[in-house]
Parts: sequence; C-alpha cells; structure tokens
Amino acid sequence: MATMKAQPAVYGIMGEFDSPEALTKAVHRAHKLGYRKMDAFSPFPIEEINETIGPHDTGVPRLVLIFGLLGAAGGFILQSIAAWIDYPINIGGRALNIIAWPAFIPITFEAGVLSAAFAATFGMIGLNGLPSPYHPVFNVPGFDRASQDAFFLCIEATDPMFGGASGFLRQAGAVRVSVVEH
Amino acid sequence: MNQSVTYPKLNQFQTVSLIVGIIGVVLLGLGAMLDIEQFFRSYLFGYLFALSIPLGSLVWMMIHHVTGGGWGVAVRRIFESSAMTLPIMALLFIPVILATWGGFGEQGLLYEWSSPEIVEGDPIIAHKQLYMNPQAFLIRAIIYFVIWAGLALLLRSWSLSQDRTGNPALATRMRGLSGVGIVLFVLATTFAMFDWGMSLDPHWFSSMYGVLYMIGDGLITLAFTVTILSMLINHEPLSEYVSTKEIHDLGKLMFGFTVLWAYVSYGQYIIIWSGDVAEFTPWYAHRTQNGWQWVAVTLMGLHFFLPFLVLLSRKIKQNLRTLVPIAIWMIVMRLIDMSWLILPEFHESVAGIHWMDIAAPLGMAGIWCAIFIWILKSRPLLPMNDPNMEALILRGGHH
Repeated sequence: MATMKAQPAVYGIMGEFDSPEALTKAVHRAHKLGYRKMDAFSPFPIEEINETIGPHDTGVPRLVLIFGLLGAAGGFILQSIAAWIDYPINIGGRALNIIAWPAFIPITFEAGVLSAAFAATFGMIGLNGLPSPYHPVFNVPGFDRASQDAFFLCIEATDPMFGGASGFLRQAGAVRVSVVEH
Repeated sequence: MNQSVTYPKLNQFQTVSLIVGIIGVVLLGLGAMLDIEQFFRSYLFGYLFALSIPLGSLVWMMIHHVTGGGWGVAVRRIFESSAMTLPIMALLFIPVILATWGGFGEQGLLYEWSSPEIVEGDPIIAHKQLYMNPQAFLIRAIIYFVIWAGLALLLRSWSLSQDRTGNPALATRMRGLSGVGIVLFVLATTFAMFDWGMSLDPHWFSSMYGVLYMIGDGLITLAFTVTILSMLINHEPLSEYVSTKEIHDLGKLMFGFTVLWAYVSYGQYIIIWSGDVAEFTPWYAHRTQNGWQWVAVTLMGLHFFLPFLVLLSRKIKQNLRTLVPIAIWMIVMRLIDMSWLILPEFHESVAGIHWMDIAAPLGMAGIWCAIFIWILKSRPLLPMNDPNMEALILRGGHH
C-alpha cells in the first residue's frame, strides 16, 4: 500500500479517571482547549459527554434519505414495468397506464422503508468501521474496566495538539496516563 | 406561583382571537337570517373544526398520563385548559340537535335521515332508521359529551389538587382513569364522527372515518400546542424548566402524526379504490371532480409531502422559531382537510363554497381560543408536584 500515509508511532494517549464527573470535566476542558480527535469510554452513557464530543454529523441520515428515495422509486418503476409494459393485465376494468398509480403506492412505500432501513443498519455499521476485531485502545493495561468501574479519555495522535496531550491529561486529574500502542 | 407575570404575546393573541371570533359569529348570525340551510351547514363545519383541538388535547393528556415523560408535563396545562372547554362545546352542539329535530320549521335541514319524507322514499336510509333518527342521535350525543367532559373535568380537578396537596396517589389515580379513558374516548369519538360527519351521506360508510378525524385532531392539537408554547416559553415558569428536549419531542410527534395522517387517509382511499364497489365509491367521486380534485392534490402536497420533508431535519424540530411556522401551516392545512371531508356533501363544486363556510370556522375557533386562553391563565402553568416534573427540574431549561 504505497499510498498509505505514514502512521504516527502511537495511536494516542489514554487517561484514566476515577469518576464520571472527573471524566466529564476533563472532556469539557479538552474541548475548550481545542482538542478534537478524542474519545471517551465509560461503563454507562453520559449524556453531557455525548453532547460535547459525540458524533454530530454522522452521515447516516443523508444515506437513509437517499436510499429511501431510491428504494421508493425502484419499487414504483418495477411495478410500472411489470404491469404496464411487460405484462399489461386488465384488473376489474382499471386503466393500463399512469391513472392506475394508486395500486402501486403500498409497494412503493414498503420498498422505500426497506431500503432506508437497510441503509440505516449497514450504513451505521460501515461508517463506524465495524466489524473491527482489533482496536489499539485494548492495549492499555486495565482498559477492560471501562465496562465496569473506570472512566477513560483517549486523545488520538492525529490531533494537531497531540504534543501536549500527556501533560494535559495529568493536569486534568487522570489517576493514570498511558501511551496507546498500535 | 408568581401571579404578576404576564404573557404579552398570549394576551395579544387572545385579543385578536376574540375580535376574529366576534366578527365571524356576527357574520354567521346575519347569514342565518339570509339562508338558514346554509347557516346550519356552515355551523356544523365550523363546529367540527373547533372541536378538533379540545378532543385532541383530551386524548394527548390521557396518553401522557399513561406513558409519562417530560414533554407532556411541559404542556399539560395547555392540554387541560383546552379539554376544559368541552362542556362549552356541548352547549354549542345544541343548534345541530335542534336542526335534526326540526326546530327551525323544516326537517332534514342538515341530515337527510332526519327528514321523514326522504326516509320514506329511500329504502336504504329507511333500513338504517333504528340508528339514524333524531332521538337516538340526541341520546348518543349526550353520552359522547358526558364521556369527554367527564374525563376532562375529573383529570383537571385531580391535577389541580395535585398542585395544592402534592399527594402522590393522585398521579396513580390520573393514570388509572386515563387508561380506561383512552378506550372510552376512541369509542365515543369514532361514533360521534359517524353520527355528525359520516351520516351527512347516509348511504356511505367507512370504519376508518372516525380514526381519520382523530388523527387529524392529534395533529392539529400538537401544532396548536407548539404555537401556544412559543408564547409562554420566554416567561416564568416555563423558561426555567422547558428545554430543547421537550420542543424536539413535540416536533417528533408532529412529524409522526403527519405521516400517520397520510397513512390513514391513503389507507381508506386505497381500500375503496381497490374494491371499486358502487356503495363506497361515490364519496370519493364527489371529492375528485368539480374542482375538489385540486383540493385533494393540494392536501397531498402541502399537508403531507411539504411538512414531511421539512420536518425530517432535526434542527428544525428542535427550534421553536422554525417549528412554529410549520405548526401554523398545519393548522391551516387541517382546515382545508376538514373542508375536503365535509363540504363536498353540501357543494357539488368547490366554487360553491359559501362565505359562511369561512366565517363559521374562524368565528367559532376565535371565540374558542379566547376562552381557552382565559382558562389557561387562571392556573399555574406547570404541574410542579407531578412526578414527571423531576426530569425537567433536574435538567433545567436552557432553550
């Protein structure tokens, strides 16, 4: 892979906090200072953190809209080709042209919903980078406690302000700061 | 609660409503002297339009008592005050009763089935006499209003005593009554719309007719509630507690009901269109010719597609500045929707719409609004002792 950019030597710096309040405070401070490429890990959802650094434009809504419209158009066109062009069939004397459109709406609607739902599910999975059997954050010793009783903030190496990250995390009250290896 | 707070926009709206209402009612009164038959037609149309919001408020209030959540507690006093007008709506129904009883000289003024001559010459209507007759119509109307007004009065009085005493048993009691109340409401409203709207064409019937009206009620009530909320939210106490989240929830419900309205309206149409049976099609045949077809197309585009596309955006649903114009739009669309449902029974062509058909809904809705605001202002605007307030108190309002 010649086009691949040179990877930074490490994935990031991870700070461990002992309470959700401490983590929330650190996230707010980091965001205020200008850190952007970071992620927080906690055993339960913390709404305030999500508001600050959660994904704001995920791209999923746009994908769902486009696929929903495509699916609906596809459903309508499929029925039009079948019932008006390939195999015109007289049902109870109804017209064999555009006037008979009401009959096609249920399928058009369902095809639109199906397509939008698939776009939402697979789009979400794909844009999240899943499935992801390996992730560097798990190299941090004790990180499995993120699903039990510990709170983590990871500042990624791709952040322009990464140089000061280690000092920042210590200052922000992290009980332990570790380097996240690839 | 601080009684000195005033709501300039709400007061302004009340004054404007009252003026519009008085003008409309005076015009309607003049019209009654000119053309009594048209007067009753317009009166019924205006009445059904004005009744949408109190009925919708009653059922939203009960749905919230059963399901809980912050959105409903933020606007519960709006729902309660609106539903509290139902006893007044009962009094306003008396002219319709009189029309079916021949109280104005002529029988069968509004409903064909109330005229013995027409019934005699029409075996289908004659067959339905057991249900469609002025006596049964009156008894059923009394039952509907007892159910509606009874629920509204009980829930309101318990809610106000919750304000005073903070007794936690009251929330449980309101929830219990609302569970039963929703079932009673759906039955009463379905049959009321069969009686008052559907029986204008006594040959035609559709089991979806009541649902169609109720979904429309739900939608216009959300729109109206959002509009009223925007007049209160910059003042105490709502400014302290109501946040973007509650507004977003109301926006989401409005979006959902826009889709539901299209689903139900289309559902009834596709069933009748597919069946293509002579018993059912005339109702749609009336509504798809002589200009009414353009009203139908307008509804498809402006009552469904436009608000649907606009309300897809989260930002628009979260901000009252963008949500209120859509809400007002939906209220206007509801009026057009009601015209399409009711008026083709009276006017062959859309050009036949009478000036009283405009004066009646504006007059009745105007007076109704003024009374509603008066009730709303008479009590605290938030039920502070309700357990659902916890979510709002913890978060605090910063819209």
